[in-house]
Amino acid sequence: MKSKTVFIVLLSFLLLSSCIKETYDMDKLSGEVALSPGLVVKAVKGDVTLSDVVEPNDTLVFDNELLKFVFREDSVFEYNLDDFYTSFAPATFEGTTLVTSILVTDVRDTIEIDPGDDIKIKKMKVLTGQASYTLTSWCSFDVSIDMLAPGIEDGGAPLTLSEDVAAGLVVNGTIDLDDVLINFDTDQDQPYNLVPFEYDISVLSGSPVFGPSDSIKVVFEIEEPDFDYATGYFGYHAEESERDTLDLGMEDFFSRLTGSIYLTSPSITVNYKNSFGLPMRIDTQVKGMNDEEEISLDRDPIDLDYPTSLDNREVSSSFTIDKTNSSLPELISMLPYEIEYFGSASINPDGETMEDNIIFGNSRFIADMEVEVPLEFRLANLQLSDTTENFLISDDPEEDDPIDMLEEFKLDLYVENGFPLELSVMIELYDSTSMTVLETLSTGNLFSAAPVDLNGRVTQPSIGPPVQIEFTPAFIDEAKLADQIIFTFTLNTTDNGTKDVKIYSDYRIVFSVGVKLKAGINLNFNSEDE
Amino acid sequence: MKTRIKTASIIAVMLLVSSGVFAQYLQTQYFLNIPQSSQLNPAYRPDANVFIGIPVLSGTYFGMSNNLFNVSKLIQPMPGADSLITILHPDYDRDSFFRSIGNKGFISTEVNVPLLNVGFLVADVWWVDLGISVKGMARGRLPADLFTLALEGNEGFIGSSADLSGTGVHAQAYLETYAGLSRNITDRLRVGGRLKLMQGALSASIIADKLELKVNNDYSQSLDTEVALKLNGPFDVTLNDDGFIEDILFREDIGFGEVGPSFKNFGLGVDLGAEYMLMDNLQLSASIIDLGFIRWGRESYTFTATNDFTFDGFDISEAIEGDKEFDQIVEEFGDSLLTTFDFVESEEGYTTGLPTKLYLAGSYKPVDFLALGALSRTTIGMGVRESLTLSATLFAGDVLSTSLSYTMTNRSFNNFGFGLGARGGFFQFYAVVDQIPTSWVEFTGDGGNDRVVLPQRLDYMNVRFGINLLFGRIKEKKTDTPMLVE
Repeated sequence: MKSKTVFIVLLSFLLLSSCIKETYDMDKLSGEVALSPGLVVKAVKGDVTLSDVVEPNDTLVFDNELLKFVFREDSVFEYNLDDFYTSFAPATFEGTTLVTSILVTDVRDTIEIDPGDDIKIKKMKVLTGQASYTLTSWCSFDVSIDMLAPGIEDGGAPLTLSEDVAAGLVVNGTIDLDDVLINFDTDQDQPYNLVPFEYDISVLSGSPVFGPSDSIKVVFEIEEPDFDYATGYFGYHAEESERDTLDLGMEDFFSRLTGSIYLTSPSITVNYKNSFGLPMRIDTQVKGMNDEEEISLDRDPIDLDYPTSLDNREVSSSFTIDKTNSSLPELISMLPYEIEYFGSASINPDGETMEDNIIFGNSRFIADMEVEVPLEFRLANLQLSDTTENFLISDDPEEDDPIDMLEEFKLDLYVENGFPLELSVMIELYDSTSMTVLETLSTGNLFSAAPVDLNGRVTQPSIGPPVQIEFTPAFIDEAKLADQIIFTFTLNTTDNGTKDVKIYSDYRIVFSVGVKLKAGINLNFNSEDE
Repeated sequence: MKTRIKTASIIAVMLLVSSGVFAQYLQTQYFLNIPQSSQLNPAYRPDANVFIGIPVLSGTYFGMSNNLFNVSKLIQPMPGADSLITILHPDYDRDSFFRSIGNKGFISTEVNVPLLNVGFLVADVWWVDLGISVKGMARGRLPADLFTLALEGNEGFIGSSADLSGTGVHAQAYLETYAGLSRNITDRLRVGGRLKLMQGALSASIIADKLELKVNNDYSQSLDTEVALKLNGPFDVTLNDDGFIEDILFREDIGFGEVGPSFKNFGLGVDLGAEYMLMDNLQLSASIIDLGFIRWGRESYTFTATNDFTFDGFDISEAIEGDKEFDQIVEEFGDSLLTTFDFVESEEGYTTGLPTKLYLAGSYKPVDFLALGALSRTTIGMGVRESLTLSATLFAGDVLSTSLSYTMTNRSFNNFGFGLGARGGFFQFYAVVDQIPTSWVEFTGDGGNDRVVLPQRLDYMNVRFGINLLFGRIKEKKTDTPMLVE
């Protein structure tokens, strides 16, 4: 009986306990999902040497491992003889001689050329040319005319010509002047631009009665020759270029830079070939301008080298504008928006001297320009700011923004920096409507500049402790509201820009970036939108 | 496609309808005086001279155990609100979830269908036990770190490792033929043993014996892995050029000889047990069950992939140098990662152990109609698991007995089991359930039109029921061995 009672009690306990404990209304099942997994991953790494990144080309070269920007422009200046010298117009001698005897001799005169103001030609070696003559007889008898140009040497002998002219007739002819040397300097009083001309007239038959109209007209004209060279003095000429301004188109970029940059050793080299045998002087005034200052190049006028003898018809030379003779580093380092320039070029800038000018029929001046900017510089808090649209949020309000799924975000940066540069970044979240900065993130130095020796070369890499960049929840929240992001990059060279540093091809940087994030995955499957 | 579906179905069936090895064998059964109690201790002897089990009906067993899919784990009422929330809801107490699964989550199922089961007394000394059963089992294991990675990410493992070793599933089905003997050594000591011959039918497993993700302080990550796929059955495996498995097909048009139990998949096992009456009303017992193995030799395939590599970021040097695009670097990394695996494939047979169980029990009978028992069970196989059962068994004469048990297992402490045995003449009906659904949850939906009632806990369910034919009684044993006690 006792056992039966216990059994019943036990069975009742089991049955009573088996009851519906709870009722779950599945219509009230929340579809809300929220996960916040924290993820870490070493995302990327790199080991990069500058020579692996920079492919040398025409404008970027390694000169003994030093990185340089080189800009070359051929034929930036090219002048030929025609550009500033016009040969003299045809020079004509015209004379009428009364024939009063069987032989009329020593009719002497000169032919004067007009090469231009202040130009004094003393000698001219003709390549090709000719002279023409017209002999007109008003005589009643035949004559013979012997012409002589003692200043014109043809193979070492004076130029001569003999022509018979029948009574009352006109005789025309030409004289080949190829390869002759014309001496315009035989006149003591005017040893330039003049060439003597002589002729004799002799009666060819009998003893005529000389009348008052018996005369001979001689016209001798030296046509414009192609010459091999000419000596003398070609006058003082100066050409000034108009003052002009070159807009570099960099104002937008340069205006976003603050701080200082100093490029230590830029240079401009002009390589030229000159076959004008006369003094030439170039005086260029260059001025850089930006919103804050103007800096002049301050380069003295440059006298070009030129050939001084017939044996050396062309000289190759160059001149350089650099920190030793100008303010070029300062001009470039000021980051000019515009370059104002004007200049002058003159020949025989010091006037006539004892030394004759020499020009050649093919004289020319041709110059190439080479601008070299070695990466030798110093930077002190050089800042570049740039504003972008907020790429963290989508333009399309229908789309989900990736940042919506982010609660925390950190970057761990490890760098072994072999460059003499250090970098920090500031990120500002900006609301352009209210024109306010919503949140600011400053990274501090992402990596430190490597130390350098006295020559500006890195001695060892800078191995700093890992840098953690934390995008705080507040920053992430504001990032969802900002419509613009302002990035400010700050660069310094070694020792805060107090030392000149150089960039060499063997510089190396080793880095790795770890990412640590906490995702915020929030979904709601109750929503019809989901 | 159909073949693949069929393959998947077969593997799924093996996973879901398998037997005996991993699930929680009925603890309550140990103390209920039925012939099936001998499956837990071969020294046990039922109160009959002859026992005959009716095929299929005498003891079909289904067991399921997991520590993941409790209703209360999946759905909770939202505190302070009239709504329900899932584990993915922000207000869900995930810490309790992690506490409940301990260091691993698992799910296991088993089925045991007896085809032949007889026992009889020989010369009043020996109890002979013979039987044939079909067994199937499946178990999947997911380390807790895997859930931590999925739900919380890898941040918590910085400077340490996520140990995912043991991740995998294992399933097998086989035919077990056994013969057992037990006898009294002294008046107080009885020992028993059972020899088991196994004929394997199908076996499949994919287990990461080693899978460790180390998260270093610099956020680089090292993965040390050794994964083995083992198949036994009419499977065709295709590898791609990289050595990875491209396809697994289950052959069609196969005969029974290719999937049925076979001595080519030969296994051997033993059960050993002992019962000792320390006092007249206090019995101690111990047993070791399923100490053995199966050698899978028919159409076996083993594929092992090992790797030990460290990911310390994509090297973007070449991208910076302009030689490659970032996408190309990522793609090449993936290709190179494949080459770091070391693959070994083999068509030689392999051996799986039987998950051995160790039972230690004590039973105290303060009065004739009540027996109190305690049972410790240790399972070795895909890890070691421990459970402890306390029981109270009531006897209503020789006709009816009931047993109430309380089991602590799977990191849960409110598992109440119930056993019922009723004997009339040579018929014995019994039903044993190791977890009584003491609380139920009613699910309503569609404005109350839909209604489903489910046990609040689905993590632990073992059911055995059947009809035994018992002939004769062992009179002298009544004084030695408490019936329906343990």
